Amino acid sequence: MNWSPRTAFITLLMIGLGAVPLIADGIDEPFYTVMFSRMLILSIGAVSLNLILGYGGMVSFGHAVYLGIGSYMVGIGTIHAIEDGIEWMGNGFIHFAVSIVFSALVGFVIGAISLRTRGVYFIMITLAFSQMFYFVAVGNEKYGGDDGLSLYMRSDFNGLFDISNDNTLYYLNFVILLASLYVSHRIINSRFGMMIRGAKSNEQRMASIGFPVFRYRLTAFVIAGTICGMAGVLSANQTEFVNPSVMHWTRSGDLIIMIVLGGLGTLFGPVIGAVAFLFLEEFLSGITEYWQLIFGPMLVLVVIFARGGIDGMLVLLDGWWNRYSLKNKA
Amino acid sequence: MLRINKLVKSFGGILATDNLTFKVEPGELHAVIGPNGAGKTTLIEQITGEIEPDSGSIIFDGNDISEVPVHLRSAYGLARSFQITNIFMDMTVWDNVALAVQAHAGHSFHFWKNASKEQILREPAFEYLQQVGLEKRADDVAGNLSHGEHRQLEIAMALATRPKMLLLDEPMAGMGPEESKAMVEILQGLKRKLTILLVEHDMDVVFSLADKITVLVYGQGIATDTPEAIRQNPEVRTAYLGEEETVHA
Ligand SMILES: Nc1ncnc2c1ncn2[C@@H]1O[C@H](COP(=O)(O)OP(=O)(O)OP(=O)(O)O)[C@@H](O)[C@H]1O
Ligand SMILES: [Mg+2]
Repeated sequence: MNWSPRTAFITLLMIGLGAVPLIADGIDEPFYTVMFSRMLILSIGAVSLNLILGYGGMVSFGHAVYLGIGSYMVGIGTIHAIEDGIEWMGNGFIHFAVSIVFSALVGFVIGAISLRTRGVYFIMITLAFSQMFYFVAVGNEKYGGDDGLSLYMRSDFNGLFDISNDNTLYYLNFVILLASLYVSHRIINSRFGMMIRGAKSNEQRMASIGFPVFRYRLTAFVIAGTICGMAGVLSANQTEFVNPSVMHWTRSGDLIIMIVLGGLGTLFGPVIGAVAFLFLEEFLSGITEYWQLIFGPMLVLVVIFARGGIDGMLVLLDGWWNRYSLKNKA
Repeated sequence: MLRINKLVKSFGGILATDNLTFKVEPGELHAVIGPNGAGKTTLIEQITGEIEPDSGSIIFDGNDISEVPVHLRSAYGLARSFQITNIFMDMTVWDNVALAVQAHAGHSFHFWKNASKEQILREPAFEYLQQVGLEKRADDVAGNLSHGEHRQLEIAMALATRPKMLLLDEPMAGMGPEESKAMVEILQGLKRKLTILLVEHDMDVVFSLADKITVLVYGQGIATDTPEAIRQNPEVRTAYLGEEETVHA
Protein backbone atom coordinates (compact mmCIF):
# COMPACT_ATOMS: atom_id res chain seq x y z
CA MET A 1 0.00 0.00 0.00
CA ASN A 2 1.07 3.55 -0.74
CA TRP A 3 1.14 5.52 2.50
CA SER A 4 -0.19 8.87 1.45
CA PRO A 5 -1.42 11.32 4.09
CA ARG A 6 -4.98 10.43 3.17
CA THR A 7 -4.62 6.67 3.69
CA ALA A 8 -2.70 7.36 6.87
CA PHE A 9 -5.42 9.66 8.18
CA ILE A 10 -8.24 7.28 7.35
CA THR A 11 -6.41 4.28 8.78
CA LEU A 12 -5.67 6.14 11.99
CA LEU A 13 -9.25 7.32 12.21
CA MET A 14 -10.60 3.79 11.89
CA ILE A 15 -8.07 2.32 14.32
CA GLY A 16 -8.81 5.19 16.68
CA LEU A 17 -12.53 4.53 16.49
CA GLY A 18 -11.86 0.88 17.19
CA ALA A 19 -9.89 1.76 20.32
CA VAL A 20 -12.27 4.28 21.85
CA PRO A 21 -13.79 2.09 24.61
CA LEU A 22 -10.31 0.88 25.67
CA ILE A 23 -9.03 4.44 25.90
CA ALA A 24 -12.19 5.74 27.57
CA ASP A 25 -11.99 3.00 30.20
CA GLY A 26 -8.28 3.63 30.58
CA ILE A 27 -8.76 7.30 31.41
CA ASP A 28 -11.95 6.50 33.31
CA GLU A 29 -14.16 8.65 31.12
CA PRO A 30 -16.85 6.22 29.88
CA PHE A 31 -18.76 9.20 28.57
CA TYR A 32 -16.52 9.16 25.49
CA THR A 33 -17.68 5.69 24.58
CA VAL A 34 -21.26 6.94 24.50
CA MET A 35 -20.33 10.01 22.50
CA PHE A 36 -18.36 8.07 19.90
CA SER A 37 -21.07 5.44 19.78
CA ARG A 38 -23.39 8.13 18.47
CA MET A 39 -20.79 9.03 15.85
CA LEU A 40 -20.63 5.44 14.65
CA ILE A 41 -24.39 5.15 14.36
CA LEU A 42 -24.76 8.39 12.42
CA SER A 43 -21.80 7.30 10.31
CA ILE A 44 -23.76 4.23 9.26
CA GLY A 45 -26.71 6.44 8.37
CA ALA A 46 -24.44 8.78 6.40
CA VAL A 47 -22.68 5.89 4.62
CA SER A 48 -26.05 4.56 3.50
CA LEU A 49 -27.25 7.96 2.30
CA ASN A 50 -23.97 8.47 0.49
CA LEU A 51 -24.75 5.45 -1.68
CA ILE A 52 -27.67 7.24 -3.28
CA LEU A 53 -26.68 10.86 -2.71
CA GLY A 54 -22.94 10.77 -3.27
CA TYR A 55 -22.71 8.04 -5.89
CA GLY A 56 -26.17 8.18 -7.37
CA GLY A 57 -26.85 11.92 -7.30
CA MET A 58 -30.24 11.38 -5.64
CA VAL A 59 -30.62 14.17 -3.10
CA SER A 60 -32.99 12.46 -0.69
CA PHE A 61 -34.03 14.89 2.00
CA GLY A 62 -35.88 12.31 4.03
CA HIS A 63 -33.31 9.70 4.86
CA ALA A 64 -33.83 10.01 8.62
CA VAL A 65 -37.16 8.29 8.12
CA TYR A 66 -35.30 4.97 8.25
CA LEU A 67 -33.57 5.97 11.48
CA GLY A 68 -37.09 6.46 12.78
CA ILE A 69 -38.31 3.11 11.50
CA GLY A 70 -35.42 1.22 13.08
CA SER A 71 -35.77 3.14 16.33
CA TYR A 72 -39.50 2.60 16.65
CA MET A 73 -39.17 -1.11 15.89
CA VAL A 74 -36.95 -1.36 18.97
CA GLY A 75 -39.12 1.02 21.03
CA ILE A 76 -42.38 -0.70 20.21
CA GLY A 77 -40.86 -4.16 20.46
CA THR A 78 -39.32 -3.69 23.88
CA ILE A 79 -42.46 -2.04 25.25
CA HIS A 80 -44.47 -5.13 24.37
CA ALA A 81 -41.72 -7.41 25.59
CA ILE A 82 -41.76 -5.78 29.02
CA GLU A 83 -45.37 -4.70 29.51
CA ASP A 84 -47.03 -7.71 27.86
CA GLY A 85 -44.30 -10.25 28.49
CA ILE A 86 -43.98 -11.09 24.78
CA GLU A 87 -40.36 -12.10 24.95
CA TRP A 88 -39.55 -12.43 21.23
CA MET A 89 -40.51 -8.80 20.73
CA GLY A 90 -37.46 -7.80 22.70
CA ASN A 91 -35.15 -9.85 20.49
CA GLY A 92 -32.49 -7.86 18.67
CA PHE A 93 -32.31 -10.16 15.66
CA ILE A 94 -36.02 -9.68 15.20
CA HIS A 95 -35.60 -5.92 15.60
CA PHE A 96 -33.03 -5.93 12.83
CA ALA A 97 -35.05 -8.22 10.58
CA VAL A 98 -38.28 -6.29 10.97
CA SER A 99 -36.48 -2.96 10.50
CA ILE A 100 -34.82 -4.18 7.33
CA VAL A 101 -38.07 -5.45 5.86
CA PHE A 102 -40.05 -2.39 6.86
CA SER A 103 -37.35 0.05 5.70
CA ALA A 104 -37.19 -1.77 2.38
CA LEU A 105 -40.95 -1.51 1.93
CA VAL A 106 -41.03 2.16 2.84
CA GLY A 107 -38.00 2.82 0.64
CA PHE A 108 -39.69 1.05 -2.22
CA VAL A 109 -42.86 3.12 -1.95
CA ILE A 110 -41.10 6.46 -1.44
CA GLY A 111 -38.61 5.67 -4.20
CA ALA A 112 -41.20 4.42 -6.66
CA ILE A 113 -42.97 7.77 -6.41
CA SER A 114 -40.16 10.24 -5.86
CA LEU A 115 -37.70 8.80 -8.39
CA ARG A 116 -40.05 9.77 -11.20
CA THR A 117 -39.15 13.36 -10.45
CA ARG A 118 -35.85 15.23 -10.57
CA GLY A 119 -34.08 18.09 -8.86
CA VAL A 120 -36.04 20.23 -6.43
CA TYR A 121 -39.18 18.12 -6.87
CA PHE A 122 -37.31 15.02 -5.77
CA ILE A 123 -35.97 16.84 -2.70
CA MET A 124 -39.43 18.11 -1.81
CA ILE A 125 -41.20 14.76 -2.24
CA THR A 126 -38.68 12.84 -0.14
CA LEU A 127 -38.94 15.59 2.47
CA ALA A 128 -42.73 15.45 2.41
CA PHE A 129 -42.74 11.67 2.90
CA SER A 130 -40.40 11.85 5.87
CA GLN A 131 -42.49 14.58 7.47
CA MET A 132 -45.54 12.39 6.96
CA PHE A 133 -43.90 9.63 8.98
CA TYR A 134 -42.81 12.18 11.54
CA PHE A 135 -46.36 13.36 12.09
CA VAL A 136 -47.66 9.80 12.21
CA ALA A 137 -45.25 9.20 15.09
CA VAL A 138 -46.21 12.47 16.79
CA GLY A 139 -49.89 11.59 16.55
CA ASN A 140 -49.56 8.01 17.72
CA GLU A 141 -50.37 8.33 21.43
CA LYS A 142 -50.21 4.59 22.01
CA TYR A 143 -46.48 4.72 21.40
CA GLY A 144 -45.68 7.91 23.20
CA GLY A 145 -46.76 10.50 20.63
CA ASP A 146 -44.74 13.67 20.84
CA ASP A 147 -43.01 12.60 24.06
CA GLY A 148 -41.71 9.34 22.70
CA LEU A 149 -40.91 6.12 24.47
CA SER A 150 -38.32 5.26 27.08
CA LEU A 151 -36.69 1.89 26.66
CA TYR A 152 -36.54 -0.25 29.79
CA MET A 153 -34.31 -2.77 28.11
CA ARG A 154 -31.94 -2.92 25.18
CA SER A 155 -32.41 -5.44 22.38
CA ASP A 156 -31.65 -8.95 23.50
CA PHE A 157 -29.36 -11.09 21.34
CA ASN A 158 -30.16 -14.53 22.76
CA GLY A 159 -27.30 -14.22 25.19
CA LEU A 160 -24.78 -14.26 22.31
CA PHE A 161 -23.64 -10.86 23.40
CA ASP A 162 -25.09 -8.38 25.85
CA ILE A 163 -25.45 -4.81 24.63
CA SER A 164 -26.67 -3.55 27.97
CA ASN A 165 -22.93 -3.14 28.36
CA ASP A 166 -22.00 0.14 26.61
CA ASN A 167 -18.73 -1.25 25.34
CA THR A 168 -20.40 -4.26 23.75
CA LEU A 169 -22.93 -1.98 22.09
CA TYR A 170 -20.07 0.18 20.89
CA TYR A 171 -18.43 -2.76 19.19
CA LEU A 172 -21.71 -3.87 17.67
CA ASN A 173 -21.99 -0.39 16.17
CA PHE A 174 -18.41 -0.54 15.01
CA VAL A 175 -18.80 -3.94 13.35
CA ILE A 176 -21.96 -2.84 11.56
CA LEU A 177 -20.22 0.34 10.40
CA LEU A 178 -17.33 -1.72 9.02
CA ALA A 179 -19.79 -4.07 7.35
CA SER A 180 -21.72 -1.23 5.76
CA LEU A 181 -18.48 0.31 4.51
CA TYR A 182 -17.44 -3.00 3.00
CA VAL A 183 -20.83 -3.55 1.41
CA SER A 184 -20.72 0.00 0.02
CA HIS A 185 -17.27 -0.59 -1.36
CA ARG A 186 -18.37 -3.75 -3.14
CA ILE A 187 -21.57 -2.23 -4.48
CA ILE A 188 -19.92 0.94 -5.76
CA ASN A 189 -17.40 -1.00 -7.81
CA SER A 190 -19.81 -3.63 -9.09
CA ARG A 191 -21.79 -3.47 -12.32
CA PHE A 192 -24.68 -2.14 -10.29
CA GLY A 193 -22.47 0.59 -8.88
CA MET A 194 -21.14 1.55 -12.30
CA MET A 195 -24.72 1.84 -13.46
CA ILE A 196 -25.69 4.06 -10.50
CA ARG A 197 -22.67 6.30 -11.00
CA GLY A 198 -23.27 6.50 -14.72
CA ALA A 199 -26.83 7.63 -14.12
CA LYS A 200 -25.54 10.40 -11.87
CA SER A 201 -22.98 11.46 -14.43
CA ASN A 202 -25.27 11.46 -17.46
CA GLU A 203 -28.74 10.03 -17.23
CA GLN A 204 -29.66 10.74 -20.84
CA ARG A 205 -26.69 8.82 -22.13
CA MET A 206 -27.46 5.89 -19.84
CA ALA A 207 -30.88 5.51 -21.43
CA SER A 208 -29.37 6.02 -24.85
CA ILE A 209 -26.91 3.14 -24.44
CA GLY A 210 -29.76 0.96 -23.23
CA PHE A 211 -30.04 1.09 -19.44
CA PRO A 212 -33.48 1.06 -17.78
CA VAL A 213 -32.27 3.61 -15.22
CA PHE A 214 -35.35 3.75 -12.99
CA ARG A 215 -35.33 0.19 -11.67
CA TYR A 216 -31.64 0.40 -10.71
CA ARG A 217 -32.10 3.72 -8.96
CA LEU A 218 -35.06 2.32 -7.07
CA THR A 219 -32.99 -0.68 -5.97
CA ALA A 220 -30.23 1.60 -4.73
CA PHE A 221 -32.81 3.68 -2.88
CA VAL A 222 -34.14 0.56 -1.14
CA ILE A 223 -30.65 -0.70 -0.21
CA ALA A 224 -29.73 2.66 1.30
CA GLY A 225 -32.95 2.65 3.31
CA THR A 226 -32.41 -0.80 4.76
CA ILE A 227 -28.87 0.00 5.91
CA CYS A 228 -30.10 3.17 7.56
CA GLY A 229 -32.91 1.22 9.20
CA MET A 230 -30.23 -0.85 10.93
CA ALA A 231 -28.63 2.36 12.17
CA GLY A 232 -32.03 3.21 13.63
CA VAL A 233 -32.08 -0.02 15.65
CA LEU A 234 -28.67 0.83 17.05
CA SER A 235 -29.65 4.42 17.73
CA ALA A 236 -32.63 3.46 19.90
CA ASN A 237 -30.47 1.09 21.88
CA GLN A 238 -27.83 3.73 22.32
CA THR A 239 -30.10 6.47 23.64
CA GLU A 240 -32.58 4.09 25.32
CA PHE A 241 -35.19 6.50 24.16
CA VAL A 242 -37.23 6.91 21.00
CA ASN A 243 -39.12 9.98 19.94
CA PRO A 244 -40.31 11.44 16.65
CA SER A 245 -37.39 13.85 16.43
CA VAL A 246 -35.09 11.04 15.19
CA MET A 247 -36.83 11.40 11.85
CA HIS A 248 -37.38 15.13 11.87
CA TRP A 249 -36.31 16.76 8.60
CA THR A 250 -33.45 18.49 10.38
CA ARG A 251 -31.99 15.03 11.11
CA SER A 252 -32.14 14.24 7.40
CA GLY A 253 -30.44 17.56 6.82
CA ASP A 254 -27.72 16.66 9.35
CA LEU A 255 -26.99 13.46 7.43
CA ILE A 256 -26.59 15.44 4.21
CA ILE A 257 -24.33 17.94 5.96
CA MET A 258 -22.15 15.14 7.32
CA ILE A 259 -21.66 13.74 3.85
CA VAL A 260 -20.90 17.12 2.29
CA LEU A 261 -18.55 17.99 5.13
CA GLY A 262 -16.70 14.68 4.90
CA GLY A 263 -16.67 14.26 1.15
CA LEU A 264 -19.54 13.48 -1.18
CA GLY A 265 -19.22 10.25 -3.10
CA THR A 266 -16.14 8.93 -1.31
CA LEU A 267 -16.11 5.73 0.73
CA PHE A 268 -14.92 7.17 4.05
CA GLY A 269 -16.19 10.73 3.56
CA PRO A 270 -19.43 10.10 5.47
CA VAL A 271 -17.55 8.65 8.45
CA ILE A 272 -15.12 11.55 8.54
CA GLY A 273 -18.03 13.93 8.19
CA ALA A 274 -20.12 12.35 10.93
CA VAL A 275 -17.21 12.40 13.36
CA ALA A 276 -16.32 15.99 12.47
CA PHE A 277 -19.95 17.09 12.67
CA LEU A 278 -20.53 15.68 16.15
CA PHE A 279 -17.17 16.93 17.39
CA LEU A 280 -17.96 20.43 16.20
CA GLU A 281 -21.41 20.24 17.69
CA GLU A 282 -19.96 19.13 21.02
CA PHE A 283 -17.18 21.69 20.97
CA LEU A 284 -19.10 24.69 19.64
CA SER A 285 -22.16 24.11 21.82
CA GLY A 286 -19.78 24.21 24.78
CA ILE A 287 -18.78 27.72 23.74
CA THR A 288 -22.17 29.15 22.94
CA GLU A 289 -25.79 28.17 22.88
CA TYR A 290 -26.02 29.59 19.36
CA TRP A 291 -23.36 27.22 18.02
CA GLN A 292 -25.19 26.87 14.72
CA LEU A 293 -24.39 30.51 14.02
CA ILE A 294 -20.73 29.49 13.89
CA PHE A 295 -21.27 26.08 12.34
CA GLY A 296 -23.39 27.38 9.45
CA PRO A 297 -20.80 29.79 8.05
CA MET A 298 -18.07 27.19 8.55
CA LEU A 299 -20.03 24.79 6.40
CA VAL A 300 -20.53 27.44 3.75
CA LEU A 301 -16.77 27.99 3.66
CA VAL A 302 -16.15 24.26 3.26
CA VAL A 303 -18.63 24.06 0.39
CA ILE A 304 -17.11 27.09 -1.34
CA PHE A 305 -13.40 26.43 -0.80
CA ALA A 306 -13.21 22.65 -0.49
CA ARG A 307 -15.71 21.14 -2.91
CA GLY A 308 -14.65 17.64 -1.89
CA GLY A 309 -15.11 18.29 1.83
CA ILE A 310 -12.50 17.09 4.31
CA ASP A 311 -11.68 14.10 2.13
CA GLY A 312 -11.12 16.49 -0.76
CA MET A 313 -8.61 18.42 1.36
CA LEU A 314 -6.82 15.15 2.12
CA VAL A 315 -6.62 14.45 -1.61
CA LEU A 316 -5.06 17.89 -2.10
CA LEU A 317 -2.60 17.10 0.66
CA ASP A 318 -1.76 13.84 -1.13
CA GLY A 319 -0.94 15.84 -4.23
CA TRP A 320 1.52 18.05 -2.33
CA TRP A 321 2.95 15.04 -0.60
CA ASN A 322 3.57 13.24 -3.90
CA ARG A 323 5.32 16.25 -5.41
CA TYR A 324 7.39 16.69 -2.26
CA SER A 325 8.50 13.06 -2.11
CA LEU A 326 9.27 13.06 -5.84
CA LYS A 327 11.49 16.09 -5.37
CA ASN A 328 13.31 14.40 -2.51
CA LYS A 329 13.94 11.30 -4.59
CA ALA A 330 15.38 13.33 -7.48
CA MET B 1 -34.39 -1.62 -41.96
CA LEU B 2 -35.90 1.70 -40.97
CA ARG B 3 -39.14 3.24 -42.21
CA ILE B 4 -40.20 6.74 -41.29
CA ASN B 5 -43.91 7.14 -41.89
CA LYS B 6 -45.68 10.51 -42.13
CA LEU B 7 -43.77 11.74 -39.11
CA VAL B 8 -44.85 15.10 -37.69
CA LYS B 9 -43.33 17.08 -34.83
CA SER B 10 -43.87 20.72 -34.05
CA PHE B 11 -42.35 22.89 -31.35
CA GLY B 12 -44.85 25.62 -30.69
CA GLY B 13 -45.30 27.16 -34.12
CA ILE B 14 -42.24 25.56 -35.71
CA LEU B 15 -42.75 22.41 -37.74
CA ALA B 16 -39.46 20.63 -37.10
CA THR B 17 -40.64 17.45 -38.84
CA ASP B 18 -43.27 18.01 -41.49
CA ASN B 19 -45.00 14.85 -42.68
CA LEU B 20 -41.71 13.12 -43.34
CA THR B 21 -41.58 9.74 -45.06
CA PHE B 22 -38.54 7.78 -46.22
CA LYS B 23 -36.87 4.45 -45.68
CA VAL B 24 -33.39 3.11 -45.16
CA GLU B 25 -32.45 -0.30 -46.59
CA PRO B 26 -30.35 -2.78 -44.60
CA GLY B 27 -26.64 -2.15 -45.03
CA GLU B 28 -27.21 1.24 -46.58
CA LEU B 29 -25.36 4.38 -45.60
CA HIS B 30 -28.11 6.92 -45.75
CA ALA B 31 -27.23 10.58 -45.35
CA VAL B 32 -29.63 13.27 -44.18
CA ILE B 33 -28.63 16.77 -45.19
CA GLY B 34 -30.28 20.12 -44.73
CA PRO B 35 -29.52 23.63 -43.56
CA ASN B 36 -29.24 24.55 -39.89
CA GLY B 37 -32.53 24.12 -38.11
CA ALA B 38 -33.93 21.85 -40.83
CA GLY B 39 -34.92 19.29 -38.22
CA LYS B 40 -32.14 16.72 -38.57
CA THR B 41 -31.41 16.31 -34.86
CA THR B 42 -35.12 16.34 -34.12
CA LEU B 43 -35.53 13.47 -36.58
CA ILE B 44 -32.76 11.44 -34.93
CA GLU B 45 -34.21 12.00 -31.48
CA GLN B 46 -37.61 10.80 -32.61
CA ILE B 47 -36.00 7.65 -33.97
CA THR B 48 -34.20 7.05 -30.65
CA GLY B 49 -37.29 7.94 -28.62
CA GLU B 50 -35.88 10.98 -26.86
CA ILE B 51 -38.48 13.17 -28.55
CA GLU B 52 -42.03 11.97 -28.96
CA PRO B 53 -43.53 12.67 -32.40
CA ASP B 54 -46.95 14.33 -32.67
CA SER B 55 -48.05 11.76 -35.23
CA GLY B 56 -46.71 9.22 -37.66
CA SER B 57 -44.80 6.03 -37.03
CA ILE B 58 -41.30 4.62 -37.00
CA ILE B 59 -40.75 1.03 -38.08
CA PHE B 60 -37.37 -0.47 -37.24
CA ASP B 61 -36.34 -3.95 -38.27
CA GLY B 62 -39.98 -4.94 -38.71
CA ASN B 63 -41.15 -3.57 -35.34
CA ASP B 64 -43.23 -0.47 -34.80
CA ILE B 65 -41.06 1.26 -32.21
CA SER B 66 -43.01 4.52 -32.07
CA GLU B 67 -44.09 3.93 -28.47
CA VAL B 68 -41.02 2.06 -27.22
CA PRO B 69 -38.93 3.76 -24.49
CA VAL B 70 -35.38 4.92 -25.23
CA HIS B 71 -33.50 2.12 -23.47
CA LEU B 72 -35.50 -0.60 -25.24
CA ARG B 73 -34.84 0.91 -28.66
CA SER B 74 -31.20 0.42 -27.83
CA ALA B 75 -32.00 -3.22 -27.10
CA TYR B 76 -33.70 -3.49 -30.52
CA GLY B 77 -30.39 -2.44 -32.09
CA LEU B 78 -30.46 1.32 -32.49
CA ALA B 79 -27.55 3.46 -31.35
CA ARG B 80 -26.79 7.11 -31.80
CA SER B 81 -23.95 9.53 -31.42
CA PHE B 82 -24.71 13.03 -30.23
CA GLN B 83 -24.10 16.26 -32.14
CA ILE B 84 -22.98 17.86 -28.89
CA THR B 85 -20.68 15.48 -27.04
CA ASN B 86 -22.68 13.59 -24.45
CA ILE B 87 -20.50 11.20 -22.49
CA PHE B 88 -19.57 10.38 -18.89
CA MET B 89 -17.10 13.20 -18.41
CA ASP B 90 -15.95 12.16 -14.92
CA MET B 91 -15.17 8.56 -15.84
CA THR B 92 -12.23 7.18 -17.78
CA VAL B 93 -12.48 6.66 -21.51
CA TRP B 94 -12.36 2.92 -20.99
CA ASP B 95 -15.10 3.05 -18.35
CA ASN B 96 -17.31 5.00 -20.74
CA VAL B 97 -17.16 2.27 -23.33
CA ALA B 98 -17.26 -0.57 -20.77
CA LEU B 99 -20.50 0.89 -19.45
CA ALA B 100 -21.96 0.76 -22.95
CA VAL B 101 -20.85 -2.88 -23.24
CA GLN B 102 -22.36 -3.60 -19.83
CA ALA B 103 -25.70 -2.17 -20.95
CA HIS B 104 -25.97 -5.08 -23.40
CA ALA B 105 -24.38 -7.82 -21.31
CA GLY B 106 -27.45 -8.91 -19.36
CA HIS B 107 -28.95 -7.13 -16.39
CA SER B 108 -26.83 -5.07 -14.01
CA PHE B 109 -28.10 -6.47 -10.72
CA HIS B 110 -24.60 -7.65 -9.89
CA PHE B 111 -23.67 -6.11 -6.58
CA TRP B 112 -20.45 -7.80 -5.58
CA LYS B 113 -17.92 -8.44 -8.33
CA ASN B 114 -15.59 -5.61 -9.32
CA ALA B 115 -16.80 -4.48 -12.75
CA SER B 116 -13.49 -2.90 -13.67
CA LYS B 117 -11.88 -6.35 -13.45
CA GLU B 118 -14.47 -8.13 -15.57
CA GLN B 119 -12.71 -9.06 -18.77
CA ILE B 120 -16.03 -9.70 -20.54
CA LEU B 121 -16.64 -5.96 -20.25
CA ARG B 122 -13.12 -4.56 -20.44
CA GLU B 123 -11.80 -6.47 -23.44
CA PRO B 124 -14.59 -5.72 -25.89
CA ALA B 125 -14.54 -2.10 -24.70
CA PHE B 126 -10.85 -1.89 -25.50
CA GLU B 127 -11.45 -3.31 -28.97
CA TYR B 128 -14.02 -0.61 -29.71
CA LEU B 129 -11.49 1.97 -28.55
CA GLN B 130 -8.96 0.49 -30.96
CA GLN B 131 -11.53 0.57 -33.72
CA VAL B 132 -11.86 4.34 -33.39
CA GLY B 133 -8.17 4.86 -32.62
CA LEU B 134 -8.56 5.90 -29.01
CA GLU B 135 -6.80 3.02 -27.22
CA LYS B 136 -3.89 5.20 -26.10
CA ARG B 137 -6.31 7.36 -24.13
CA ALA B 138 -8.09 4.45 -22.45
CA ASP B 139 -7.12 5.33 -18.89
CA ASP B 140 -7.57 9.10 -19.15
CA VAL B 141 -10.58 10.84 -17.71
CA ALA B 142 -13.01 11.46 -20.55
CA GLY B 143 -13.40 15.12 -19.64
CA ASN B 144 -9.73 15.71 -20.46
CA LEU B 145 -9.96 14.57 -24.09
CA SER B 146 -9.80 16.94 -27.03
CA HIS B 147 -12.90 17.76 -29.02
CA GLY B 148 -11.95 15.38 -31.80
CA GLU B 149 -11.30 12.57 -29.35
CA HIS B 150 -14.70 13.17 -27.78
CA ARG B 151 -16.25 12.59 -31.20
CA GLN B 152 -14.32 9.32 -31.52
CA LEU B 153 -15.47 8.25 -28.07
CA GLU B 154 -19.07 8.99 -29.06
CA ILE B 155 -18.71 6.49 -31.91
CA ALA B 156 -16.97 3.87 -29.76
CA MET B 157 -19.79 4.04 -27.21
CA ALA B 158 -22.44 3.72 -29.88
CA LEU B 159 -20.61 0.73 -31.40
CA ALA B 160 -20.23 -0.90 -28.00
CA THR B 161 -23.99 -1.40 -27.80
CA ARG B 162 -23.58 -3.69 -30.84
CA PRO B 163 -26.28 -1.95 -32.87
CA LYS B 164 -27.84 -3.01 -36.13
CA MET B 165 -28.16 0.61 -37.07
CA LEU B 166 -26.13 3.69 -36.18
CA LEU B 167 -27.55 7.17 -36.13
CA LEU B 168 -24.70 9.64 -36.39
CA ASP B 169 -25.48 13.29 -35.72
CA GLU B 170 -22.71 15.35 -37.31
CA PRO B 171 -19.84 13.14 -36.15
CA MET B 172 -17.35 15.59 -37.66
CA ALA B 173 -18.79 18.78 -36.19
CA GLY B 174 -16.00 21.10 -35.08
CA MET B 175 -13.18 18.78 -36.14
CA GLY B 176 -9.94 19.86 -37.81
CA PRO B 177 -9.02 18.48 -41.27
CA GLU B 178 -6.78 15.73 -39.86
CA GLU B 179 -9.39 14.52 -37.40
CA SER B 180 -12.11 14.66 -40.07
CA LYS B 181 -10.03 12.49 -42.34
CA ALA B 182 -9.61 9.93 -39.56
CA MET B 183 -13.34 9.99 -38.91
CA VAL B 184 -14.13 9.43 -42.61
CA GLU B 185 -11.88 6.39 -42.48
CA ILE B 186 -13.74 5.09 -39.45
CA LEU B 187 -17.05 5.57 -41.25
CA GLN B 188 -15.71 3.86 -44.34
CA GLY B 189 -14.71 0.92 -42.16
CA LEU B 190 -18.23 0.72 -40.72
CA LYS B 191 -20.03 1.03 -44.03
CA ARG B 192 -21.81 -2.22 -45.00
CA LYS B 193 -21.14 -3.73 -41.59
CA LEU B 194 -24.01 -1.70 -40.19
CA THR B 195 -26.88 0.31 -41.48
CA ILE B 196 -26.00 3.96 -40.98
CA LEU B 197 -28.01 7.15 -40.92
CA LEU B 198 -25.55 10.00 -41.21
CA VAL B 199 -26.35 13.63 -40.59
CA GLU B 200 -23.50 15.72 -41.90
CA HIS B 201 -22.86 19.21 -43.23
CA ASP B 202 -19.67 18.41 -45.12
CA MET B 203 -20.93 17.80 -48.67
CA ASP B 204 -17.71 16.17 -49.88
CA VAL B 205 -18.03 13.56 -47.16
CA VAL B 206 -21.71 13.03 -47.76
CA PHE B 207 -21.41 12.64 -51.52
CA SER B 208 -18.42 10.32 -51.29
CA LEU B 209 -19.86 8.04 -48.59
CA ALA B 210 -23.62 7.94 -48.99
CA ASP B 211 -25.64 5.39 -50.94
CA LYS B 212 -28.78 7.45 -50.55
CA ILE B 213 -29.41 11.01 -49.47
CA THR B 214 -32.51 12.57 -47.97
CA VAL B 215 -32.71 16.34 -48.18
CA LEU B 216 -34.53 18.06 -45.37
CA VAL B 217 -35.66 21.68 -45.56
CA TYR B 218 -37.85 23.19 -42.85
CA GLY B 219 -38.78 19.72 -41.68
CA GLN B 220 -39.90 18.58 -45.11
CA GLY B 221 -38.19 15.80 -47.01
CA ILE B 222 -37.90 17.40 -50.42
CA ALA B 223 -36.03 14.46 -51.96
CA THR B 224 -34.62 11.00 -51.22
CA ASP B 225 -32.35 9.65 -53.92
CA THR B 226 -28.84 8.57 -54.95
CA PRO B 227 -26.07 11.16 -54.68
CA GLU B 228 -25.94 11.69 -58.49
CA ALA B 229 -29.68 12.20 -58.71
CA ILE B 230 -29.62 14.58 -55.74
CA ARG B 231 -26.86 16.59 -57.40
CA GLN B 232 -29.02 16.96 -60.51
CA ASN B 233 -32.29 17.60 -58.70
CA PRO B 234 -33.35 21.19 -59.53
CA GLU B 235 -35.55 21.51 -56.45
CA VAL B 236 -32.67 20.54 -54.19
CA ARG B 237 -30.31 22.90 -55.99
CA THR B 238 -32.52 25.93 -55.49
CA ALA B 239 -33.68 25.02 -51.99
CA TYR B 240 -30.45 23.88 -50.54
CA LEU B 241 -27.30 23.14 -52.47
CA GLY B 242 -27.14 26.52 -54.23
CA GLU B 243 -27.57 28.34 -50.98
CA GLU B 244 -25.00 26.12 -49.32
CA GLU B 245 -22.43 26.84 -52.02
CA THR B 246 -22.76 30.58 -51.62
CA VAL B 247 -22.38 30.19 -47.90
CA HIS B 248 -19.19 28.20 -48.31
CA ALA B 249 -17.74 30.41 -51.08
N1 LIG C 1 -36.63 21.26 -27.69
C1 LIG C 1 -36.98 22.18 -28.62
N2 LIG C 1 -37.88 23.15 -28.31
C2 LIG C 1 -38.25 24.07 -29.22
N3 LIG C 1 -37.78 24.12 -30.46
C3 LIG C 1 -36.88 23.20 -30.84
C4 LIG C 1 -36.43 22.19 -29.93
N4 LIG C 1 -35.53 21.40 -30.57
C5 LIG C 1 -35.42 21.91 -31.80
N5 LIG C 1 -36.23 22.98 -31.98
C6 LIG C 1 -36.39 23.74 -33.22
O1 LIG C 1 -36.71 22.82 -34.24
C7 LIG C 1 -36.02 23.14 -35.44
C8 LIG C 1 -35.17 21.98 -35.86
O2 LIG C 1 -34.08 21.84 -34.94
P1 LIG C 1 -32.97 20.71 -35.11
O3 LIG C 1 -32.07 20.82 -33.94
O4 LIG C 1 -33.62 19.41 -35.34
O5 LIG C 1 -32.22 21.18 -36.43
P2 LIG C 1 -30.93 20.57 -37.10
O6 LIG C 1 -31.31 20.27 -38.48
O7 LIG C 1 -30.37 19.47 -36.30
O8 LIG C 1 -29.96 21.82 -37.07
P3 LIG C 1 -28.37 21.88 -36.95
O9 LIG C 1 -27.84 21.66 -38.33
O10 LIG C 1 -28.11 23.25 -36.48
O11 LIG C 1 -27.96 20.85 -35.98
C9 LIG C 1 -35.23 24.42 -35.14
O12 LIG C 1 -36.01 25.52 -35.59
C10 LIG C 1 -35.10 24.42 -33.66
O13 LIG C 1 -35.04 25.74 -33.18
MG1 LIG D 1 -28.66 19.16 -35.23
